[in-house]
Amino acid sequence: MSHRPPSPPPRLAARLFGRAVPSRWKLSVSGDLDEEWYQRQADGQSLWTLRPWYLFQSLRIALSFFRAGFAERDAVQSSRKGGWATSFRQDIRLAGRLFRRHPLPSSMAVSALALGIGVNSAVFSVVDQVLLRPLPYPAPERILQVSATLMMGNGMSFGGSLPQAHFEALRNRSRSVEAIAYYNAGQTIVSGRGEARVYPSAFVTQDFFRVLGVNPLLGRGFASDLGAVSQPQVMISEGLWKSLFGGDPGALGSRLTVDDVARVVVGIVPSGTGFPSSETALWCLRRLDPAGKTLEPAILRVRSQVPLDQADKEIEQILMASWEEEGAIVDQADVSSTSLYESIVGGVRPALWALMAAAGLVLLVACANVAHLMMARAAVRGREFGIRSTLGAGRWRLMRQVIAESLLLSCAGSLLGIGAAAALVHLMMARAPAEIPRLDGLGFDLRTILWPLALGLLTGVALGLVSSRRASRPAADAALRDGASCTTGPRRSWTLNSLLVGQSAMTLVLLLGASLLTHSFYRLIRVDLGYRPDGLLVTEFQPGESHFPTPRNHLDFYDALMERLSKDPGVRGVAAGSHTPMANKWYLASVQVPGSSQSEQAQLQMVSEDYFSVLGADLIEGRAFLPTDRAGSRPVAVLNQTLARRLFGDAPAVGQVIESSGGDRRQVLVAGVVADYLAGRLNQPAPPLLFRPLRQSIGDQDLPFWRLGMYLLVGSRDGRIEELVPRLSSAAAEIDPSLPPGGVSELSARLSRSVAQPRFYSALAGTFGLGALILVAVGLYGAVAYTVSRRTQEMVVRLALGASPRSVLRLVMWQGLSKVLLGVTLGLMAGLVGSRWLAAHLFGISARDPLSFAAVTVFLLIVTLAACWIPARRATRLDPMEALRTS
Amino acid sequence: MSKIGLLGELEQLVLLAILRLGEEAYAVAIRQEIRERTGLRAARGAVYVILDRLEKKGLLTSWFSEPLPERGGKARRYFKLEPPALEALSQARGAMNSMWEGLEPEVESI
Repeated sequence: MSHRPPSPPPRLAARLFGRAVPSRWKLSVSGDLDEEWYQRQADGQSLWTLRPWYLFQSLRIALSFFRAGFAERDAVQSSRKGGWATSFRQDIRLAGRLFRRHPLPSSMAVSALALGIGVNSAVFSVVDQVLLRPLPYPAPERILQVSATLMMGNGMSFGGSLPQAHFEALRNRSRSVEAIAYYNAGQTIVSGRGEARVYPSAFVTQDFFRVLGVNPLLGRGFASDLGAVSQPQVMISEGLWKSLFGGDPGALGSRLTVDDVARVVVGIVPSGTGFPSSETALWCLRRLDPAGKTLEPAILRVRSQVPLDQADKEIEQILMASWEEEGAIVDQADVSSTSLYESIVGGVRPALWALMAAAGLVLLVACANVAHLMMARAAVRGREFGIRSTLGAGRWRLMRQVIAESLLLSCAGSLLGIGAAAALVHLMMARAPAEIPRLDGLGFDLRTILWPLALGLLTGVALGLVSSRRASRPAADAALRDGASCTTGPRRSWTLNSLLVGQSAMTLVLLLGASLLTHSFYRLIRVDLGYRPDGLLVTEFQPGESHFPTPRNHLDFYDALMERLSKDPGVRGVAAGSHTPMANKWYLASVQVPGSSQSEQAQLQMVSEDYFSVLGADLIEGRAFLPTDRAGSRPVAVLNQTLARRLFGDAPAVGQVIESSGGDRRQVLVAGVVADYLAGRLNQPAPPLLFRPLRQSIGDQDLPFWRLGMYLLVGSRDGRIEELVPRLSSAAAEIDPSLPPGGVSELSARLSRSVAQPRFYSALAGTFGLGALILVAVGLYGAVAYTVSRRTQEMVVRLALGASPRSVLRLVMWQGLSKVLLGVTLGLMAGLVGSRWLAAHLFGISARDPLSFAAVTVFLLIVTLAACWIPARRATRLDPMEALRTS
Repeated sequence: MSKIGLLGELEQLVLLAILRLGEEAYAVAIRQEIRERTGLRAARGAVYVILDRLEKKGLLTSWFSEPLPERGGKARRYFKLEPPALEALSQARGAMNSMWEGLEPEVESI
């Protein structure tokens, strides 16, 4: 029978001992443990349970010695020198003296830390302001945003907001809803007090501020009984109050002309509480038409004693019941109520946390840099530590010295970092897109100052611990040997090298993120829109039902307005439509070829004759709509390419007949095909679009354009859009003075706003990546320079023995390059895994875009080569005789 | 009272175990002895730290055995009490006894 020899205990344990157990105990303690190890093995215990047992016991023993050692040394030293605090002060003084003596490496370390801490604090203050701080309203979690998606029996659906009937149902029937309000954001022109100016405004129903829980700074706010209101009312923001009225309380009750309507100022809204945007300056009170068909975003407040989930259920029940009453048309409804907080910040949260992570990486890279510098310096000071240790300085005493140095560095770094953060915050405020909510209150306060200080302290202690570990264990005899570079053993090189590898890996990841975002942004702004947005104005009117009792009246208004505007010499063309590009509304219809069982879903839009030419979308087949396409004439449609291809493949679509949704499956003649254009967001492909003539929708229940509101597209002839705006408003007011003014915006401005967020993120990511790159370059430079200085003797001997300068150059450069290559490999692997988190923010490229990966790798390698080459060249220029004489 | 001060509970247990084990007193056996007699499982690390401390106080001396194959060729560290240890033990016991004096019936009645 053969016996298997017993397995030896795990080696890792010996390392644990090596750190903490005093050398006089090492042998017997590990012997005792080994004895038990072999005994348990002989008793038949499996290695699977034995190994963890052994490691755990080693760790516990090491910890016991570690604790006992510290307690003892502390007691001895404090009794000797009058306290910990005194000697720490000495340490700090000593560290300060050291910095003055070596200003260059110290200031490099401080700048690296300042950069890392500054970037971190700036991003933290944004995250704190946007995500962490509660909304400025009482019990903000009780404010919900309600919206609904309706799917009608006839195959159509629309959604995004709350129909008025259900708004009323919620207001009247719900027990859990304290208040509910509609709001509709836009812009208004305030005139009559100085120069007329456009302000971001909102049209709100009377309970709007009750929902938010905001009390006016001055005034009573909107009347709760609208019956008693004789004049249109407006509330203004504190900022506007100060700029227009100089903060005069007499502003209350005075009149303000808002979009040519005189409104009484009834309240001042305290700053910092603005909604829907923090920049909203005016809130105009609007009435709801009892028979209205308004469809807008709504917010509500849940009563304080009602649990939120119960309120959610009740809201859903009431909305469902109210839809059932509507019965005939609503087939299915989907209600969603999200907390106001979620609806405000939900969209930017992932991106902000990703930025925070990127900023964290920058700090890590900076820390690696400083650790590097400190370790290199500790190596140079090996002799000093050796002497101090021989003269009786304990290990803890030496460690404390190094920690004091790193604390001093990091404190200086964090103080400078606060300055850097302030500058960065300033820059971000100036460049941040309006889509990032809640940024206006961003500034410096105690929290944002404490964060960099805490970060600095933490990095200081961590850096100190890392770099002091070896500095405090000098081999005294070796250190004292003349000219020996004792503390540059393989272990130290290992730590230094792994710092370099980690640093380059992290930088590659950061650069990769930046490069992917930038490449994607470039694709996004270069995307072919399919139309020409320049010089196009979009106006939207939200008339109540009382204004236009029938669709005919509605259309007449637009006809009159279009006619008036088309005579304006500055107008190139004008068209009306139920949608514009990038409007966040949709209305789906199902379309099919007669006889086919397969139907396609398409977005239905009702447009006037000149719509395509004003928009600049190309007609590629057939014709656009004509004035003769009116109610009673043959139903016609224009398809976009995508829909035409889906329905007819490559066959010509013009002249074909399609069936559009509707109870009687009416047959519609395809009159034309328009080239695909991006009707929704830029990062989404063109959806299938079905256009119907606006005039044919009169008397057609399936084309309820009046439910969707209407947009007017006005093309300016000479690009002077700002001059067109007042003419547009006054033309509308001349036709119908009582019409609430519509919001006016430039299509190109909307486009630019829609890419503001990706632009901002790619710019920030790029800044972080470049910052990290500079840090790595400095770190590499330092590392290679340090190697050169350390191995001068070896180099000169090589040169003296006939090695060519080129081979010495190669040798030194390979020192730095090999670590970076390993780091780049690791970074690429991490990037391949991690980049899919970015996929949601990318457009037109894959998360593994080979171009971005290759560009970043090459870029990093070029910088690496440069950073290594400069100090390496010095090695080749050594004069052997001179170097040998001085060393 | 001597300069050493009063012994802690685990210190007493360790010293008494060494006394009992005589020539065979090394850390594993000491732990074993304490466990068998009192049922207490003293942590290994704590035993080492106490042995180290007692040795520094001069209550113990130690020496190494020959390398032993059952320990992977490592030596055992044996311990022996020094006269001050006996003094400290009896002092600790005396202190305990005087604190217990007259309290036994009361404690047992609970």
